[in-house]
Amino acid sequence: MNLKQLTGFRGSAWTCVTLILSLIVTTHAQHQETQPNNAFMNLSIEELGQLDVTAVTGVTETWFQSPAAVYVITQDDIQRTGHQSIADLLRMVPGVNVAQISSNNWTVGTRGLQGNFTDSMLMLVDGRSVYDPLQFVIRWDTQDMILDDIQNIEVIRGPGTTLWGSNAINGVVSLTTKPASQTQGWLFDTVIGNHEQPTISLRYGDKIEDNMHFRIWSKYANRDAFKHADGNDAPDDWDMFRTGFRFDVDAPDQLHWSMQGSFFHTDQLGGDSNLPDPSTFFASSNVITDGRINSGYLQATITQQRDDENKWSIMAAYDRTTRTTHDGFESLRDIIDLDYRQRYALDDDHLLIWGASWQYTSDHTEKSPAVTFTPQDKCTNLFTAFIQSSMQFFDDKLALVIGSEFEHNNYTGFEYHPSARISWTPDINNNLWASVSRAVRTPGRVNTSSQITPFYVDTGILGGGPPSGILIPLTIGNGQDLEPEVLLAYEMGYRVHLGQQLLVDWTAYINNYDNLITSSQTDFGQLNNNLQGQIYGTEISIVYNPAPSWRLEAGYGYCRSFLQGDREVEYETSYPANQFHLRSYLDIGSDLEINTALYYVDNANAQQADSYLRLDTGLTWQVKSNLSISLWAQNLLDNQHAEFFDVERSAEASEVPRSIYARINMTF
Amino acid sequence: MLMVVMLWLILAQQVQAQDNQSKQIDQIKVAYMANFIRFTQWDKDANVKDNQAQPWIITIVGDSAFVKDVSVAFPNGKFLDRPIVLVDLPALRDEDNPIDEQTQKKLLASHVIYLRNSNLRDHRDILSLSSSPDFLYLSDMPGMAKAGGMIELCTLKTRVTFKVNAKAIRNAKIRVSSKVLRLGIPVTSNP
Repeated sequence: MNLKQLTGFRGSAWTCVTLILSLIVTTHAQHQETQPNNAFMNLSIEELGQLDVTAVTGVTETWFQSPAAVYVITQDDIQRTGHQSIADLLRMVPGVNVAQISSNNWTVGTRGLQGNFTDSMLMLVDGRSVYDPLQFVIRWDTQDMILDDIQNIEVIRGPGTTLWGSNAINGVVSLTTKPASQTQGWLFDTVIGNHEQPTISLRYGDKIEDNMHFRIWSKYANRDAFKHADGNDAPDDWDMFRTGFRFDVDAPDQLHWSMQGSFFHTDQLGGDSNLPDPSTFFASSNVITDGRINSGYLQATITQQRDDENKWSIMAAYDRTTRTTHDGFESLRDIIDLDYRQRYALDDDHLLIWGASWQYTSDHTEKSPAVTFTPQDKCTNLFTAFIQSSMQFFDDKLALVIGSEFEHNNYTGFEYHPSARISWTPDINNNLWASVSRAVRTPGRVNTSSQITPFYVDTGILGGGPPSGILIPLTIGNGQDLEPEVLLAYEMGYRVHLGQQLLVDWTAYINNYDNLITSSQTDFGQLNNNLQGQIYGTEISIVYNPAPSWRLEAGYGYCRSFLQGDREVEYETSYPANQFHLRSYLDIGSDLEINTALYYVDNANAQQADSYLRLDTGLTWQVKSNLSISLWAQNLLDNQHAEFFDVERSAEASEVPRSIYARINMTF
Repeated sequence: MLMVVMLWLILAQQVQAQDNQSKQIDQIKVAYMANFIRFTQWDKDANVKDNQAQPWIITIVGDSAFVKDVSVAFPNGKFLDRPIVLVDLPALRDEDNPIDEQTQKKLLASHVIYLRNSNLRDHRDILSLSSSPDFLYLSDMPGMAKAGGMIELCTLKTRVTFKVNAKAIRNAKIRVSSKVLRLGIPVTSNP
């Protein structure tokens, strides 16, 4: 990118930003004249539910006033978008790109970084990290539950490393499930269609005492294959069975005990893989196999919460997963997590958050023709501690948040993740914030210990001479001397309630990356840190309620990458520059809903994915207060489209087909 | 003496803080009520309540101070371009007498009835007004939703939230958006 392009882009972007801000300020000035004498009147039901009424510093609103790019997906959003997987639900977050690689595989990226796995975001389920420490990614195929049991999903775009550590370099997805007291009785939910064949969920919740509640649940899903470009089925059909429980106790003195666990099994995780051909020079063959996963976890949490500003929690979890991938690579890993967090109000204007955690990981691997881990077994320890101070000035209108996380890992040793955030909230309807953060993403087991063999090469040709007839494996990877990726992120945002019908949330960011891990273009693809540069963009979310029975929500994300180093073009073109969505929630009487969503995603050339327009629409009929029937059609605008082609692993792209399904949801 | 004054000042400050907190909780409840009105449709066929030219009639039972909280929350006395009429009913009836006809008429003419006291007899009286009511019935009374009411506003841990009795809402001649039903804590009536 030359200077002219750069200044040209920035000029047009700043013009847009200025126009948007001018519009907001003008409309806001008009609106100020009719302000009610109740600061909460412009807040939505979701926002009112987030107000902490016992906070030492008065009422606080966690989402609206937070100096970070936060988006909250509520249970209402989950029901009204028709998505049947957690990864797909993230499509409604402005600026987040969800690409479905196959029927059973997703990748989720944010702010310009996206590979064939989600490796720069962290996901937490009720505070427990589900980041895979062996592959250093989020495995979306194992992230599932009964979607009715989700309370909300908070998505933080941008660095979340100060509180959550180095895996959260580009964002955090924090999923909170409902307490057992809110899932009492029976739930039966089934989804059946041309792709869902079927999905059945069953849950039972009851109480032992007035302060002791539990639920047990199971979910089975059988999902059909996606399509190849020629219309034939891709080999990626799959099924899975999952069962779990949650037990909650409200003890005296505002103590809350919670124990939960889940077990997941599949032996039909369809897919294909390119394996090296040992008898042919520079050739590979594509094999179709079923992957297998057995996974389970147990988690115990004790929390004492007097208010939002005085709270502590201890979480202990154990997780075991065995996985056989499509190329035959087998792994067994055990994770033990211990985490302590405390929020403590020093005085009316000063809040301290601090904590420490330990994660122990043990793994055993069995090589496949394509993938080898050396050493075969490894144990790692990750120690972290963090402290963050929030100070408020001028009657809580100005807030300053500074803090840092410190960690020691087995790969790069000591790391730190400081951040400083400032927000100006003149009233409950306006919030302006800015932040600067330094975050690192450390290389992990997969980067430092794995070797990939894509082909066999002739020793003679390799030496520059005639073929010798002796073939040896070409092995790449094994970046033992990798440095951590370093991000210096600058963000700012503005939120405004414009009356009771309109909410605007705008964010802009500039991310400066150094030492990005890439594979060499010259040295047979060995991993190195030779990639750096800048990614910047903007995100906007607008919520508009034109009528009591109609809600519209729009999201837009713009992102541009300017990188220098190995495979810079691949990285620059791996993320869609423009993304847009518009969702409509329309109630017709009290019994019928028509929910529609339109998504536009720009092309991502590195993934061989053209731009696409996706239209989903669904009709829900509330037959009785405890029974609803829905009909959904997804991807209405085309027969099928590719969102991501993992060219290194598959012979042909799996394309997302048009699908229809019916859903019955019943409680009793 | 100085100690007494200091103790008095500390005590006064704490009382002031508690007053502010309960004031804010009431303001949040009014904001919830406005949202519930926004997401409710009154039956077009049954009466004139859906008529956009008619005012919103909000009846507060058992708390005249709360009437003022509601009044100041709506600038110009309007909401969604319709005037608001607030009806203040400190009590539904005298001790042993049934509800008089005029009070019944006022209640039945309401879009929203907000029961602010914890008088179970008042709750039963409101429920007995109609088996298929065309008003939205809210209350702070603990256990109100479980006892057949529609929406119970409550403080759960540190937040103001609400419980929803979907069956009671469904039996009424009003249409409450499923958004409200999904965001509230589901409650079923006691048998």
